[in-house]
Amino acid sequence: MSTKKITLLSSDNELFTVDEEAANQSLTIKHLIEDTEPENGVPLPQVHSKILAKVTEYLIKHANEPDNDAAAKEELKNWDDKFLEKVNHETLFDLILAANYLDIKGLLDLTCQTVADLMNGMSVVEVRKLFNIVNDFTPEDEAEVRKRRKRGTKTIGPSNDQANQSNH
Amino acid sequence: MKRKRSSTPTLTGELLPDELISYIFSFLSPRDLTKTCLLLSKRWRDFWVSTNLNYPLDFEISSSNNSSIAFFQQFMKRRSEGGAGSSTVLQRLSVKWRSFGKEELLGNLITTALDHHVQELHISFPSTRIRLRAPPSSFAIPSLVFSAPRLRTLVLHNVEFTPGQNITCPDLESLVLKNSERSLANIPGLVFSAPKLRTLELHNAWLTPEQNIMALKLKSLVLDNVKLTLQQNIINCLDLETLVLKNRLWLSADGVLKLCSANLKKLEVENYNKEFELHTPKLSSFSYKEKDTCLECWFGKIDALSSSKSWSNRCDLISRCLKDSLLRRLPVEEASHVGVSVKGEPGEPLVLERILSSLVRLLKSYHNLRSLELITTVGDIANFPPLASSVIRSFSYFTELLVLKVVHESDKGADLQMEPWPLSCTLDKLKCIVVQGLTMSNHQIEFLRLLYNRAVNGERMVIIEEVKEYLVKASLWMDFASRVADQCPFPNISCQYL
Repeated sequence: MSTKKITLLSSDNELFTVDEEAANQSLTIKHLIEDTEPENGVPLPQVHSKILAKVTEYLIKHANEPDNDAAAKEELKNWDDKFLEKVNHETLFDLILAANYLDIKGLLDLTCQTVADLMNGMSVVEVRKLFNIVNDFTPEDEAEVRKRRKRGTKTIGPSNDQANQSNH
Repeated sequence: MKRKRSSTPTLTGELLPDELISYIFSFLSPRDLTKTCLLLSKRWRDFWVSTNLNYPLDFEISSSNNSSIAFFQQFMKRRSEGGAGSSTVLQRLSVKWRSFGKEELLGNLITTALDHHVQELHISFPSTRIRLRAPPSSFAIPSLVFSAPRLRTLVLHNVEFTPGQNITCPDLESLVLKNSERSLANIPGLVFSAPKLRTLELHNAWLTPEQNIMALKLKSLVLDNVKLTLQQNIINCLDLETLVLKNRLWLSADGVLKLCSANLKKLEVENYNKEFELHTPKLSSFSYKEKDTCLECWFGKIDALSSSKSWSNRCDLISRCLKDSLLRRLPVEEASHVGVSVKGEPGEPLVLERILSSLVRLLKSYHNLRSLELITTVGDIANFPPLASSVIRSFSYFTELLVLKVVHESDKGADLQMEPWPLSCTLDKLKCIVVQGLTMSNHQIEFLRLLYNRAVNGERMVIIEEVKEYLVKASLWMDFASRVADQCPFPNISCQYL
């Protein structure tokens, strides 16, 4: 097993040291190392130290992913749940950007799933606000959508709760 | 619509590019995706039909009301049109049809699912009792299902077959048929041929002699109230590893069911009415259950006899056991370790006695037995008959015994009465004894005293107690120790607390 250390340099010039094996989960870092063999740390000008600290925490924990050990997998899953538990929206979005930039599939899926779960309880207005999506419906469009939606509650489907109730 | 209003989000995905937002959306369920995208904006409405979802689609339609079917149809249709059709794999469609009529809707539904290469199809009709009032033909399902390529799992409840609906799906791996007895019995020529079938469950199915099931790769078979003929030799399929026999099994030929599956590893028997014989050299797990009473046996080989560790690493061969005369022979005479666990419920003492006496007959053939573990669990009853008497009587066969463990579990102080030790029994090879949960009643003290008398070469005794019982039991044990001090053959007595 390789014990070579890799130093990562955040946008605000803070250094983070991780095992090469952990760092290689990020394909971006892996390629940077292969291509440039940087001596004074891998520069990551797009990632702030606050986010990079979180990312390295994830990389270290996931460095040796268990293959067959069900208990270890379960433990890792619990860790993942806790990992994003107290993260605010801003950090979560920054993590998504970082995971995307650093090309860490596991972290990207984890963070995106977390946002999708968040959306579960939100209204359309809240979702628009969350992603800063402009409502480009004209008032006529909107009325049309609302109308269709109203009719659609019959065709587009009630929530599961309602479906269940109607069966009783 | 139920909507939990969360506190207003503090931010701001203003920096997230569209590709990342769409990636996040792909984690939403079909329903949430639809809801969100249709209302969000024009741009995202187009996105709705073309996105690749991050998980296999799984639809459950729990009633024949129009809305959920329409949603499903519309969703699949829009996605096909939007260009995502080829990449949309429909993993599972589960339909519980609860009312009569609307069969054409169901037909459409299933056809749509098959068009999208559904891999798992569950179809459930109203139960037979209700259906008797309706004409049976109205509940036929499209024949396309039975030859669908790519279908891996097919579960049919209360579905009637019509002639010509032969099951010939080339990729089918798992088939469950429940309550199809009427139509199966009426269509003698029906063909079952699934080369990749690995799991087959039949509940209340009556197969005619012509209906041979061609499934050479079958690994797991459940027969629950099934009528079979001997020609249908699926039970002795070469690769079969798991067999579950439940309730009745109707064999057209009289006599004993002979199990000759060379690779059978696990056998479960529940409320089963027939005798059977086992010729299954690889059997490693056997369980028998009848209502609330069950008897469990483990059969295994132990290596380190003098260490109490051997209790935990017992059983490379595990087996649970049997009812009176149900089982003629277990192919495990080689076992050097046997564990017996007897569980009794109030009102079932007679059944337990019957089980135990058959156990004794069985244990006689264990010439290699070196280790015996006896666990009794008794419910809340004051006067339970001498439970372990039959087992203890059988001890006289185990002159080679090296290790004995007695565990008594009881809810409310029900006493395990130990019979006096048989006179003929010598246990001069016994080296280790473990006792747990004894209440130190007179019966049990007598049992231990006799045990001490027989086990003249004993080396080690382990007493396992619950911590909370410690104070209560300590004085009893002291008292006991003083009474048998001169007889005790065990130089090494240790206590473990749970």
